[in-house]
Amino acid sequence: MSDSSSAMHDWLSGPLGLGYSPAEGVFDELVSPDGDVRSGWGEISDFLAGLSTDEWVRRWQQGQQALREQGVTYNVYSDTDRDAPAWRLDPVPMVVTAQEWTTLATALTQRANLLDLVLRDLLGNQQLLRDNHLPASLITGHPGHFMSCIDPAMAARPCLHLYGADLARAPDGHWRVMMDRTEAPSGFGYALANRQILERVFPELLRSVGVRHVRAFYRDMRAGLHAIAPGGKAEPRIVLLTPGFRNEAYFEHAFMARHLGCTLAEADDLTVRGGHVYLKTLDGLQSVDVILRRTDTAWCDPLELRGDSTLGFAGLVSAARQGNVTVVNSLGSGVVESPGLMPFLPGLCQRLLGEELKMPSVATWWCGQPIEREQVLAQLDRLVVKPAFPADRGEPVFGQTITPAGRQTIAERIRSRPDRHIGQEYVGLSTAPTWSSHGLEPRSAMLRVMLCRNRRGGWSVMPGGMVRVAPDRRGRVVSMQQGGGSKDVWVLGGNSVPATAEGDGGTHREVTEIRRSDGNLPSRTADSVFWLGRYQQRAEAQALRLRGALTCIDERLLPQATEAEKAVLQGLLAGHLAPDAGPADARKLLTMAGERAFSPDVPTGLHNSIEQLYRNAGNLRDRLSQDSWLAVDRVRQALQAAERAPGRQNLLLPRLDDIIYALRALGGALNDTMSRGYGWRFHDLGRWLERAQQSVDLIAATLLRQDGDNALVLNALLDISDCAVTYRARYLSEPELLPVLDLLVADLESPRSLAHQLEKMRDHVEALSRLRGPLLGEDQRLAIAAFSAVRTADINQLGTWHPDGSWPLLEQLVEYLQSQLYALGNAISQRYFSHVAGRGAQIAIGGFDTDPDEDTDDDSPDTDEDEP
Amino acid sequence: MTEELLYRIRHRTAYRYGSQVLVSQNLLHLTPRDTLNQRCLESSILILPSPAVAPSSRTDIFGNIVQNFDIDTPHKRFEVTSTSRVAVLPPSVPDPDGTPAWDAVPESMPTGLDAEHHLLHAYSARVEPQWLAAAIRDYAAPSFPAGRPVLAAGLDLTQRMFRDFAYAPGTTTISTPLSTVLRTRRGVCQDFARLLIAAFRCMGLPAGYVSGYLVTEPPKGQARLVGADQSHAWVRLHVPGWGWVDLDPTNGVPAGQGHITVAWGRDFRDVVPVKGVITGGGEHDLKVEVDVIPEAEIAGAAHAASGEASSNRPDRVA
Repeated sequence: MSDSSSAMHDWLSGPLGLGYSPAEGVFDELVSPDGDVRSGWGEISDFLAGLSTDEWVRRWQQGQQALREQGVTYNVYSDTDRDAPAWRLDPVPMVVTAQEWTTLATALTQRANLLDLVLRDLLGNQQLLRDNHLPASLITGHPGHFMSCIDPAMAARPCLHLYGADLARAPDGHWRVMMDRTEAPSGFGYALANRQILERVFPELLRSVGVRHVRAFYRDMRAGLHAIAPGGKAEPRIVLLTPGFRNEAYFEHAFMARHLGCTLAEADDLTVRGGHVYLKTLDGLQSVDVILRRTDTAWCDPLELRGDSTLGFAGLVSAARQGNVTVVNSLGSGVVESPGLMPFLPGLCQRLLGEELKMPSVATWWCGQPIEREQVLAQLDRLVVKPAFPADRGEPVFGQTITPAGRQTIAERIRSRPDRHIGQEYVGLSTAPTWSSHGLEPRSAMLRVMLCRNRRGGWSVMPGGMVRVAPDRRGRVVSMQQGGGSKDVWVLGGNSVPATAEGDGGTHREVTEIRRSDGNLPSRTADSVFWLGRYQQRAEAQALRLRGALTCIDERLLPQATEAEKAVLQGLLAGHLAPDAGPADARKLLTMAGERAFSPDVPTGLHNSIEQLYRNAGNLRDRLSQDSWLAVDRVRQALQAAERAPGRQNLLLPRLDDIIYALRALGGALNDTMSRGYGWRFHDLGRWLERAQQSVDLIAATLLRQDGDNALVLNALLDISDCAVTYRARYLSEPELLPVLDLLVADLESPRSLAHQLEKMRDHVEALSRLRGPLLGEDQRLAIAAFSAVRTADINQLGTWHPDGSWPLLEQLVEYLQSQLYALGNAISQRYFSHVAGRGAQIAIGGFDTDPDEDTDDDSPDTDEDEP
Repeated sequence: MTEELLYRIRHRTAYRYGSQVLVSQNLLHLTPRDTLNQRCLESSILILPSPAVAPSSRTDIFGNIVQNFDIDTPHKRFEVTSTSRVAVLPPSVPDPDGTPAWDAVPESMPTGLDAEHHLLHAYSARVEPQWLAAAIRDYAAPSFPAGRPVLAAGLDLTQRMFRDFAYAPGTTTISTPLSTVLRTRRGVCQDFARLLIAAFRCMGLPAGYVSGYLVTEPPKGQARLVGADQSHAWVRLHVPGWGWVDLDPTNGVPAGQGHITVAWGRDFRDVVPVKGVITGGGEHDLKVEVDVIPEAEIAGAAHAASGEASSNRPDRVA
């Protein structure tokens, strides 16, 4: 320890640790008041101190890279999707010794048991209220108290399955609970993601120090969820209910679904029939046994909870009440998520468990009680005032720092709604060493510890967790919403071998039945995969046309471009030009198209296609392979790089090349990793359908607009369709109309020909129709007809030029295909994505949607999600 | 001993939709509950189209009877008919002047009540926003001089509302804001009940919403018309030391033997008779018919019915 201390001293005084001086009067996690390194840090601080600045930077960048590749995000509201910032993870871990951990774990297990008992009472017969052990108005005034969730049968079953506790370490070195998370606790996924990142940054250190593994905890969680299926079903279906892609923690939802091996579902994927919950899949309705919800109770069922919710599905409360589905945590579990409850916990613990509460909460006074209210008002200058209920947004107010006028305002606010406020002792959070641009600095930190019920119904504590740190060294509030960062938590005392047998699940071997079908793909997932294919292809076609336009005329000749040449440019750029763009200067045309391609305001532009691609891939985050996700990320990076490139053609071209390569790499990654089930078919169908549409549009925008077979057009067409090489290999001459038409329309062997595209499409449509019974569907009819029309077309006739200046047959065919393909897209959506078990808006009848008298604040679910 | 009055009630709710409803999830508060002065003797509910799984019935936190069911056969018409037979005694009402002072009520609310009572307590159902509360308090204040017995004050406010507000069907909907009702001084029973509850809560008094029916007398010399009655709504006020007393601001009286209770709660939302969430459906058209027929009126059956009722007379007398 003395060695490490001296190394540490060097480090702390060296360039990295320069100025690492914890403030007086707070507990620092790394350094004791005497300047010694605390127990447990020895080997870790030695290792970190031994890294050169370059090495630090290299590893740090590795970590950043890993974060981006994993796509770890936490969306801060008010940001647009484009700016969804990457998750912030500090490379320096929080270290907890084995001994200290045991104390924490024991205390929190007790607290989880206690909160479960309180919850079961409050959702059941409410004896605690009748016997006056809890003030009734603390419960009935809680916005998370829903009368429809109260049912005496509830009390018979555990209600709390996942629990998170936010802990603060006071200056005396002891941990206190700041907040209990029971509604839909988050952080479970981020903690594992953080660990996966640090495993790439400090692999050797994690192993040599013997940091405990968090993966085993996931096995416990999974086994625990399996064990609570109604009727003890052996292979229950578990779904994770997410509010959707726009939720700030969507990453975590998808990540957890993947690691728990359950289906990620939005409300629209689920339905209630005869009091049972079902997942709407391509194969029809599949019954659901357990729902792990990440949607707050209020929003879960528009029939019995908030009527204006679009994030829930009607009938869930009733299904849960009848015991046909287990909801985790039980609907209504948020009623014990309130600091107002904290003053009562020691007494409740004695009463319900016959034990002392092992870990105190931060001293708290609920203003709904007259005596406590007066105490808070009398000590406003040293307390922290917070909302009593999580649904009430509001920052903590620190009495020490407010002005007398501010204090007056707070006092009035408390007096007008005493029950909605608490006063809390100010606890100076402990500080933890945090990597910043000026070396290590001590920042305020709060620890979240997470627990789940395991297979036997007991609690497993995640041996790790998540620390949130303040955005700078002066900050006293730790919040991801306010720009704070996170840290991994290293619990010492694990074995140094990569363990697989830690935790409760280790001894429980699951035997999985071999399965091959993916017919139970949720319809919404099939929809996303179809559109992913379409946007991939659309983006590629747009990029190819823009590149074709940029290269078809030598840049130096542009000022002298002929009318015919300008007309070709206009045709190629049609998708990107404003509809009324008249024949202008050729260079201006190109500049304008380049700008519009990358503008978010042009819905038909390349930018939006790639954003849509990204969005649909995001919806599939739990189903894409890691490499596919990386490829998606590369496409978006290439787009962003192109958007930063100045508008000059010679600079834009290589950027467009990059976009095209990235798109093709994505196509390859998806094609190589997707199993050839229905999901793949929808994806491939989307690609071929889009490619065929783009091909037809290209012919319409170029050939059909020309006066005759113009060499410039033909060359550009071959180039954009990637057929130039094939053409030259076959014909060894300048392009001519008929051979070009053959390649682009009729040649079954060429993936760029309409015949090939339509054949593939027809095959997929036919194969998918097995999901829908023997009758021929509209989609099949359209696909077969479109293929036949092209297959039976006579190229010689198509290429016959009419003296009045048109190709009547080619025009006819193009028009026919345009309308067929459009109708086909709709028919596929109708048949597979929309009608399944009644998709569409849920409309309330008979009641109010919202209270007409309530001048409600904007308490949309998007903003009151609990922070991880 | 006062005679029980027997009623036959039929409450039909019919929706017609512009396009097919694919799925619907529904919740009913249509079965009259038992109260201190009322017993539900028979009740049945007919649903069309018929749900694949029979409705699940339960008692909610207030003691109301609730049915849940879903329909997954596509339909363009949806009908629920609740038929019941109810026996009602005159409710007992304390001497208003003998009740405790209204301004002592908030302090005298005992703690240690269950949630049912507390949900009706002023705390959990505050009137917001504050400007609306202030306007309502201004209106109510003349009925509440310091120290006045709570029921005397409550009755006075009930009667004042009856005088000041015009009964004007069709001028309001269930989502008309209270501020509008207060300003225009007109509305229907729902509006008056909501406003009176808000006024009581503004004074710190626990109050609740009652949904039910009121027997009406056909105009003299005319026969009772089928479906001419309506659902009704009124208010219950908590009187310490006594219990709940029902007040009807639409008629300016305490509820009597003609008031038949179906359900009560904090407000309309807790007791919506037919509530649903539908997928599909487009535009809809709603028709509600209510008949409340005193059994004594039913020719021929009258004797048999009252005979049966007297043999079922309960021991408890209000």
